[in-house]
Amino acid sequence: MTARPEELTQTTPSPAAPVAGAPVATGVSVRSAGLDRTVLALAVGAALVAPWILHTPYWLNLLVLICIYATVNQSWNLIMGFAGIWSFGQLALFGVGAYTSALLTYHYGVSPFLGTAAGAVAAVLASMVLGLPSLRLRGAYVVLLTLAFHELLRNLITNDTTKWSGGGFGLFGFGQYGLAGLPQTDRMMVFYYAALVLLVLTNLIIWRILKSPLGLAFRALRDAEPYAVARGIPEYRFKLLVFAISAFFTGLAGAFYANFLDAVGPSIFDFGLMMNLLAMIVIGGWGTFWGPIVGTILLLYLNEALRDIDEWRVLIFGLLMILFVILLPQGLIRPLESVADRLGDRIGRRGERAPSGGTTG
Amino acid sequence: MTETILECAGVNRYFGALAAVNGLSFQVERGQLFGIAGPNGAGKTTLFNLLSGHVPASSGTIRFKGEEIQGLPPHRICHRGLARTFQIPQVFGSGTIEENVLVGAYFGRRERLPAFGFDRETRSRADRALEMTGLGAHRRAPAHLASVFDKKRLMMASALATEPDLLMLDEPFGGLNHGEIDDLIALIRRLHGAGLTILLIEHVMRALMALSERVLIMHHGEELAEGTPDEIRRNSHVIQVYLGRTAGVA
Amino acid sequence: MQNLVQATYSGLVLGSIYALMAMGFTLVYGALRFLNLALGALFTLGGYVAWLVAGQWGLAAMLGIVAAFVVVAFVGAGSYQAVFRPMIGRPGWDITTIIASLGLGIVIENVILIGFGPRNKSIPLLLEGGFRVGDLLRVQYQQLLTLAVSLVILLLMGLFLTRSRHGLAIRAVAQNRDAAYLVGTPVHRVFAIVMAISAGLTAVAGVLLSAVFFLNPGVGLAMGLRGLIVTIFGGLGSIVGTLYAAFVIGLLESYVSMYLGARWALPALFAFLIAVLIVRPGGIAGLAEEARV
Repeated sequence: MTARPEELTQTTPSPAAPVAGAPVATGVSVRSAGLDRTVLALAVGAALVAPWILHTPYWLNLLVLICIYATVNQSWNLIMGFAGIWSFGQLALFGVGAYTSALLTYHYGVSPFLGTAAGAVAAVLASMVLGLPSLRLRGAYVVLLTLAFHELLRNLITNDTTKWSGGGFGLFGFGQYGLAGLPQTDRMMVFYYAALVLLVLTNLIIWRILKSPLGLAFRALRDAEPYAVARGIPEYRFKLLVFAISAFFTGLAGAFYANFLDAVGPSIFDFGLMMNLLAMIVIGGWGTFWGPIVGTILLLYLNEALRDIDEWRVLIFGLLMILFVILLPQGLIRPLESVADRLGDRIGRRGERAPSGGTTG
Repeated sequence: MTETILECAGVNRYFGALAAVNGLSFQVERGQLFGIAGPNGAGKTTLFNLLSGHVPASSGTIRFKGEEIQGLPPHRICHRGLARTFQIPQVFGSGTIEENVLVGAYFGRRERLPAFGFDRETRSRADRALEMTGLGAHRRAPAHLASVFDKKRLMMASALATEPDLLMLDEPFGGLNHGEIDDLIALIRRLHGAGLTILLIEHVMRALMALSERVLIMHHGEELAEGTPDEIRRNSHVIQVYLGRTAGVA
Repeated sequence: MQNLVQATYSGLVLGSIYALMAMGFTLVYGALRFLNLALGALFTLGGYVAWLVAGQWGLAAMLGIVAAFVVVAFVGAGSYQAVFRPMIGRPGWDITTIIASLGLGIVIENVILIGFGPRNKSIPLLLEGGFRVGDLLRVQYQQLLTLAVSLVILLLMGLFLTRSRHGLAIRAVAQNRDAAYLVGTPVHRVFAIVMAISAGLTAVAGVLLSAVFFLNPGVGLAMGLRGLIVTIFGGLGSIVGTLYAAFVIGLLESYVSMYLGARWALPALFAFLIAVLIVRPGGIAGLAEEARV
């Protein structure tokens, strides 16, 4: 009944497309492939070089967080933006990953590496608790269910009188993957590159999935579900699959986070954090591939820049998010892309051979 | 050699106290072009929804290729070889024309988990479907920008890409101009001529009568009459209830 | 036996507060078809308004409740005009409104946090003391008042919806927006009224609950989630279902707290909820066709 927003797709404006705000086809514009590659190369280069330029623990900490949160956001974007499932359990799954790893190491001396893997698996299992009842539920109910799950976890841990989960104080001291002995800056460097690997791996896999038949199926289910199932797409199986995939990377990131901070507490379930993550995705560009990454970088930087007005940060992000969702629901990525395209056009016209092929028939 | 490909026996569907489909029984032979008509609210689309699995039957049996399918989910029924189109043109708006057809081509008969890419067989199935419906030239165009006629053809193309044994068309002629109606009649004839079994709901009587080998007229969820187009034309009940004064039959 | 009676009584009191809270969600969803997650923050806001009026400024406690209703109702209607109205009807509005409401809720909560500080405040109880019913039951007057106020408000709301012109308009819009629009119902005004009423109801719930327990910027969150659970259970958009569900959930929580311990209340609710959802995806009486994909 309500059309899924066509702008929730990865798009590049093409010549035949209507103005921004109206639906555009998905797919990478052939016209700007060269530009895309350049931007990508620059981005990768910047990512590799950044820690050497921003070589203080303060900045390195931020860089690691950017990688971790971007991983979570991309995963959330997969299930909510591309598959169209309104799951607000992402942060809860992040917490599951973090706590699983932390508990295993803290209580049972399990190697943090194993703990991290376990965190990913635990998150996947937890996502099934969310996914299975959600299968037959329509949108709003999934929101409620996932939020309730989030609160349930937070509540369980905060009110844990046995203190086994650390209760309100949390747990700490997991060894930081054996790097605890290193000088701080060096340790941070290692963490950064590890986090970068996590981010790149997650994005690579999600990118491949989006381009694959499975990605097409997710979009089909989101665009027109009765039609999609009439063409043979197994709705329940694929919905569970997207829950699992999204949860896997999120749980992994969560476990990594706990080991990085060397601490975990119920503050990981703060709704303020959930809203920050949501804001990153919304402002960056929901349902696009680069949006979550750009949004994460932008907002985390902003977060640091506004350090002095600590209490106002959440407020400001909330307002920003509301503004964007009303005025610019596709996020910053689309306008940025069209600017980039226009730049690419101008460069193309300046004597270089015009790229071949068009996007539309 | 006729083989019954679809058989409905005493199929009912109740919505509360209302019987949208009431004790319907009929058979479709393989290779037949079977038409279903009836006034608005006769239960035609509900019937399609029952056949395709989108709505569960309240009671009765539906047999496709000899096996019972009532109660199966839509994707399983598609895997068995039954594909349908929808009265309101459906499209995967975020994709291209080609991607829309690829959905049918890839998932139409697939029971295994998806792989990471579209294999050659899938692509040739999609290509054939695009060729058959004349959409090959526009394959990269965004699907949501397609015209109504193109969307209908696209729906058919993605259905054909599932290589169905039975194709069900739900009022495909609605909203088309004369030229498009002729094109569509020709397309359906081509498909039928190639051996495809077709079940056709249609309001536009000219097209329905011209195409069908056998016609079922529904009224208030029940069968009003069944027979060849000629028999239907001469059936006084039908004339009274349905054709009435609008007997613009070709 | 005494435990059972006490728990039942507590459950009923709790249920009445949940009913007010959940009614807000259900009304908004029924008429506007979106989930207003900002209601939790409005719950908190109600408490603080009452605290200001009755606590800080020392005015009559009843005035506190009224002020809470009025002020927050305004905020509700205002938020509709400023935030939600522009979004409704645009593609994807059913999820973007939810996101916007989440953001709004957090913004309001943070404003409260910045303005009033994080520490607990207490609203002067409207009525002190209580009585015992033999050996079975200990009743506080405040609880009775809570029960009474809730039921009266719910009753008033019921009358409003069934008898008044505005109420009928709301129900018409809830059933079929397009048809209501076509027959001249001022749809946007109806929406604003619904938002205002739901906000007001939630605010009163906030006052009542905070008077019994305590008030801090985070209360809305916990309550909001309880309200959500009630709403899922009762079915979004079904007023009767929500009422029924509110008391069932209130009782359930009370019993679990009494016999298993307070910390198991929420997990038990959640488990119960999942069980119900598996059997009836629309909740008890919700818009079953809508809930089921």
